[in-house]
Amino acid sequence: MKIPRRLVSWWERLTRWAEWIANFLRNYFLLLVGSILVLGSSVLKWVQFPISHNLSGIKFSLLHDPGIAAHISPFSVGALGVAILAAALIFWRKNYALLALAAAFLLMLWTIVPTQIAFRESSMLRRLSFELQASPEVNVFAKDFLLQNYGTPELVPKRLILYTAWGRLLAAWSFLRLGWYLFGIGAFLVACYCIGKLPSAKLSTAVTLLCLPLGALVILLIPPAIGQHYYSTGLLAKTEGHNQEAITDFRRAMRWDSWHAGDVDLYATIGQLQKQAGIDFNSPERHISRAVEFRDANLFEAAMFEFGRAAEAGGALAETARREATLTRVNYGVALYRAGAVGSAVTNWQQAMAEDPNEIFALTFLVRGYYDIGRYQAGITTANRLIDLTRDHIYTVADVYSMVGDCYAKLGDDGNARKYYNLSLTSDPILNYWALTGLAGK
Amino acid sequence: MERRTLREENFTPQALRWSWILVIFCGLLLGYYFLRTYGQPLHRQYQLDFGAAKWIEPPEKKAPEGYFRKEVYLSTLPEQAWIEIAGSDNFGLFVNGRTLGDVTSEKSYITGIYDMKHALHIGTNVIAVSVSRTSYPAPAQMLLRAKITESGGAVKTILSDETWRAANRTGIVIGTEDWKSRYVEDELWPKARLSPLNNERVPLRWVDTNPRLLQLPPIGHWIMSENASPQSVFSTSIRAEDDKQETWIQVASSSGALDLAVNGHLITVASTAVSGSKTLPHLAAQATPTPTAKPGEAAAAESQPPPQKGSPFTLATLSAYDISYWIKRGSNSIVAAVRSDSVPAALFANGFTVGTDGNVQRFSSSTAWWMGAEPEVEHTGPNPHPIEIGKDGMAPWGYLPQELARPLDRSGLASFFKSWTIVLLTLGLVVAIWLIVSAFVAGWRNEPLANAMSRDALLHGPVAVGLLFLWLPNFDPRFPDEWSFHPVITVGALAVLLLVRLAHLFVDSWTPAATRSTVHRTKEKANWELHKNRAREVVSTRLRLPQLFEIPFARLLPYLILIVILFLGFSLRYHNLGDMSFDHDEMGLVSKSNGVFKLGFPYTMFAGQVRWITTYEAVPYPLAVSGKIFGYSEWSMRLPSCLMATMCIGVIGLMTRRLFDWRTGLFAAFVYACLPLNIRWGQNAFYLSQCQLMAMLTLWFFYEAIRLRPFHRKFLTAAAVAFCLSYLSWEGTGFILPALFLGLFAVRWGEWWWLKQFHLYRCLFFMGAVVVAQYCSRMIAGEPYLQVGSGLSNLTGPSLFLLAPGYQPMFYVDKLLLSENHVFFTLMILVGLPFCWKHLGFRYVIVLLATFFVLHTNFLAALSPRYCYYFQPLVIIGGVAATIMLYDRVLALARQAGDSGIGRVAAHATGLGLLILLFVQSNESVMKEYLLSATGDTPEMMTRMGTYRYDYRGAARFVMDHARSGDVILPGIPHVFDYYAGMNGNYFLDTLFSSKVPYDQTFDEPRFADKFSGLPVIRNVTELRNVVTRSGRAWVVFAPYASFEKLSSPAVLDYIHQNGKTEFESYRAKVMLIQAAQSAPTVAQSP
Repeated sequence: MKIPRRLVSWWERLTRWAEWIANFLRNYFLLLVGSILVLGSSVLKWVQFPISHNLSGIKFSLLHDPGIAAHISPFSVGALGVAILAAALIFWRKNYALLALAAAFLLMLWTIVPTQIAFRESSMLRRLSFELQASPEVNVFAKDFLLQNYGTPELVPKRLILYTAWGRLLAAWSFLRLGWYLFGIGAFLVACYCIGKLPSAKLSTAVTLLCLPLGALVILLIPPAIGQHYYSTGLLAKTEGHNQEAITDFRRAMRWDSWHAGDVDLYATIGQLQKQAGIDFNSPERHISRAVEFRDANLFEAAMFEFGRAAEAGGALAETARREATLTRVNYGVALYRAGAVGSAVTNWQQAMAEDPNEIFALTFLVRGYYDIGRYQAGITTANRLIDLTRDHIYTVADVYSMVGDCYAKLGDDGNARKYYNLSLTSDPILNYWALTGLAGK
Repeated sequence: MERRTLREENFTPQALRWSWILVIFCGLLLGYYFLRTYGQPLHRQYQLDFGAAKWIEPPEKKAPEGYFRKEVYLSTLPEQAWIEIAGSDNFGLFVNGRTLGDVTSEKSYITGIYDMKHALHIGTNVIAVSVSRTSYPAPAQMLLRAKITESGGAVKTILSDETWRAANRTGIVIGTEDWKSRYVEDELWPKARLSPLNNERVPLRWVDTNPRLLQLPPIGHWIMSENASPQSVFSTSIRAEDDKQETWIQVASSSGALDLAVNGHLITVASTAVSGSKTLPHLAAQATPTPTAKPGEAAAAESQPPPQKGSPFTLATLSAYDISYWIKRGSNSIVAAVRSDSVPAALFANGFTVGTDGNVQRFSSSTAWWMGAEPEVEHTGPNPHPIEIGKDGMAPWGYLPQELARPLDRSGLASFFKSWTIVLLTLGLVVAIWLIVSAFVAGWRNEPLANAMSRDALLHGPVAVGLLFLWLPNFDPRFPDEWSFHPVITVGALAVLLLVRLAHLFVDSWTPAATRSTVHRTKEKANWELHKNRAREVVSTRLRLPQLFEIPFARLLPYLILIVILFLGFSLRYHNLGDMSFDHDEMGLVSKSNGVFKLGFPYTMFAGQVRWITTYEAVPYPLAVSGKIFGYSEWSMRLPSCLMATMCIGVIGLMTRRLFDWRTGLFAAFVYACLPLNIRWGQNAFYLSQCQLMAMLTLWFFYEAIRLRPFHRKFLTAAAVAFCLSYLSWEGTGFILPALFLGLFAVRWGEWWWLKQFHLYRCLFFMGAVVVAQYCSRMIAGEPYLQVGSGLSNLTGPSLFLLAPGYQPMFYVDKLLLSENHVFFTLMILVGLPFCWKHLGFRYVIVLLATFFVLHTNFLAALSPRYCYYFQPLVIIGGVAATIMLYDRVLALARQAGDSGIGRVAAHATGLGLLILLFVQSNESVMKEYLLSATGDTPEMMTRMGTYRYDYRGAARFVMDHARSGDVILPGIPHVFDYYAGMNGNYFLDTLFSSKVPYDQTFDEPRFADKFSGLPVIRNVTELRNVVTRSGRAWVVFAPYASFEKLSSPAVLDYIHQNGKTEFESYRAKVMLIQAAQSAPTVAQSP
């Protein structure tokens, strides 16, 4: 059979391209894979939140805590990483030393992420650990008061040591996910490529470039390390009965580490020490100390009142007191719900959400509360808001879909009820008995 | 001088680099030993002493589950009561219904010691123990010793012996009372029998708690300040003979708020950590809700201490801390601060130090303590000492419950830096000694420094491997965790490292030439040649194999060894092949294989229609052939798997030989032949052995095909056929295709000519056609059935699992790479990566392994340890190859370092030591490395030898023997029940739709039905109750038991547990009998 000449020429052209691609791959393999990893990782999950939605690289801002409704930020680690890599590839691809410098910057960005969560934006770690604490409570509520979805809830880290700087660093690291790891691997591959291409002094260049991420890490670790020192000496002074010294050390720890400045237990400890030393009778810390005692005794209204008094002081303490007051109100709502006062519970949850919209775990309770008191439409609206905020967590979202299905079923809108049960089942098909029985009957 | 120059010329920078690597590795390892011995010792562990107690077991012949009871009468409340227990694989310890301990460790004798004084009360008390065994075939065994000291001083010692009551099931008396209840009549239970274990030395597991904490008689007083201040600081000092001397302290306070510091280090703060609450908040006026019982547990815990109402005093607990880490030689200060709002601050403390000779020095809170943080300092106050307010047991706290061994967290930046400082200092010391000794030896022997350095570095190899060996027992449950971190071993290793340098003295006298002449002389003395010729003659004449010796023996030998390994592997797999019951996975394939000789393909019948197999299509054919020849039995059905697993040994040996060399191939085959995971799956009729064999053949043939240019067509065709067979054995092996593609890239890096290989496309098309056809078959078969429920068949193909919330990136790291027998292979792969990467075969293996790992982790939305089984041999091959290449490198270093006998011996010792280490940790023959896994002692089902999966056979035969006409049977897995009982069940329980159930329109009243046996499905407790009421008696087969509990509705479980009685128990299987219209007596009666 005679092969047409055009086909032969195409085949030859194809072969030449293939050879070119082969050479290109051989020469730039590491750079290519590294760049793809850095680019791809920026849209993947970096931080896993137990309840609210996860954070991707391009939403992980270095300037502030992205909060529960994170947006794409030009100063995010992902965006900065992509920009640095793109600039390096466009302008410095022939200058391997500069390209290596860009890789060192990428590694630095990668390194500072856990310290950013643990120390620079400690509110993020606080939210992470709080959501971690709240999720079993939400699960218990679901088990006690909702129909059962027997599927397995999401796996999240279970036990964090938050009273030491090292423990907080490990805690922050435990929430990091695939995106962060891939970004690091990508940056490392790019660095390997550049160092491999350097004509000489590879080892010394590598060590020099390594100083950048390590230096950044050390700089970020120094303040919390000092804070940790004061915190430890404060605890020791407290044990030895030196209350005044303990208070001074605790205050110094708060100045050096914002984690301590937002720690309600530390304020309560200071309040207790003040009380035992017989000083500062009306200090905000003593109000917090009393509030914590009331809260532990399930005297929620008294606790909220004391937190309110403490919040008049201003500063980080006031912010902490307000946050704790809101949490106490949510718990008060749950306690009222358990006691059968569903209307009062709903009022408290509504108020808590008005005070601090970040406490989204209260929305789960609120949806159920609306359902119980027959405000189905309000339940649906709240549930849709909750779905938007927790969309990454199929188990939670499936339950919320089922709750919406229940609301529609009560409203007689069978079409929408079926739609939401189906959504629930699609979201979490494993042992989702609630949605299954919603569709098929018990 | 000329000789010296030549040697220097031979020496390469690479050799010097290897010398550094050896020394640094040895230094780091020794540094870690120093860290764990002196810097940060691991928590101490203890062996319990059971005195005259005897191992007991239930009297029944077959008793994998054992329930033991003993009644104890007390006339007063105890002031001290402890109990220590050991059980085979597992035990649950209950005192008066209160759970004190529930621990499991498969294939070991697990132990525990507990304080039980608060579970006891005046009158009759019941000590109950359940033991659930999974290791096969011995029965459940238990050993127990307890001591109760009553308030008056009367002492009761309880030992396990024949007076205990024991049974192999709980339901041996009529009634709804729980078996642990004191209302169950003890006399109705049979007596326990003594176990044969009493004649053996049983290796018990070690415990974390010093038993003296509970066993020493309580001493000490509650102390408080003279003015009964609500805030007080108490202190004392204790003397220690040595740094980090073993010291324990137990403390309790009147308010619960207690800070404890030892030598300026805070102890108590370390125990607080963030963890989620499992209870919901409630209003202050509400009583604390009682915890809900587990489904089916009718009897709640008895005699819980009532909460103190209205009292300002909180319940005090004696918390024990191991403070050895902070103890220094000489005087040590202990400071305890107690704070309270409403009650005087009071402290109770006692503790002890253990001297080097084992003697115990006790200390306790008393008036000898000091007020304030500085003990033994002149105090200016009115009374520098506290006052004693009473002994342990005084009101309002009573005898204090003891909380054992609260873990202390020593993490922190300071600990981190301290650890590294110790390790790096040791490393510095080792390197310094190396350099000094090398310089000295080089000067003394007038040889190049590089030679002396390399030879000296080689001497570090055996020491490092020895340290690795000594590390292994720490992961064996028969040894304590810190077994190897003792001064004798650590200092001994350093001493050996120093003394081994004396070998430099023999460099000249011990040369290869001298060794060769010694060997030659020995041969002559032993008439070696004569014996060799005689042996050859015997083989040639008597065995009539003269032609065999036309092949040079050196070439023949590896094949002979491989055959021996094959026989060894086969015997290990064949042993007890048919002993265990089929599991549900095996039975599914066995039942489908019946159709092969009827319609020509495997199928089952559902609703009167043929339902052909849609997964594991190729697996039932060998089963059918075996069934046709030998008849259907466990043995015959597992025989194909056993044979294929044995063939896989050969394939691994030959493949590895082709990728590397004979040594690697034979050793890999040997390791694979003895690895428990592979032996266990070789004894199972499920798809895994066949799939693994086909997958390995595919990988091998493909490698053979792409080694040559142009590709070897026959091997390519064979690889395509093998791929199709592996794909039809399990669809997950579809990932082989992308892995082969990347493997091709790795082997033919930078080459592109293979794109023109037309046969490659032909094979690809053929494989694609098979994949598409299988997928279509699956879709077509599923289409006519309306199905409800969850199941793996939801998974139709690869997906972006990495974006799903259930994504677990570490799953296959934990289950494959870092599971107990694979850890060292993974480590060796990681170690070997930098220096073996250039080897084509190694690169091929690693690229395949990495690709499989990435694809399974990220793109298969189902996780199971068995999914990685088909590429598991790659871990073995990679690890063995890296080790042998490392061995070669060390040997090459010895040659470069003057080729002295000393260097060679050291290199051989290092290499052989590594290989032996690899083998020893890969199976249970010498060490049981159960704690080596990343996830600790949590084995998967098939990872250990001699463990039973599910005893469906026993459960089914029991029902068959005891069911009466008219009884209703609800089997857990209907088709397995049908096979073993020889009769059908009546209904299938699927109350949470945890199994997929199709809709069967052929019933009188159309409903969902079980897909294997077509039994109608019971979907809720109402339907179950109706069925039971109509029949009178219903048998429920709980097998597999754990998933039945997990995957059934709580209402149904409650109904079954409240109305049923356990008639039979075996490995992960129970049979319960529910009798309708049964009166529910609250007190047990004799039958």
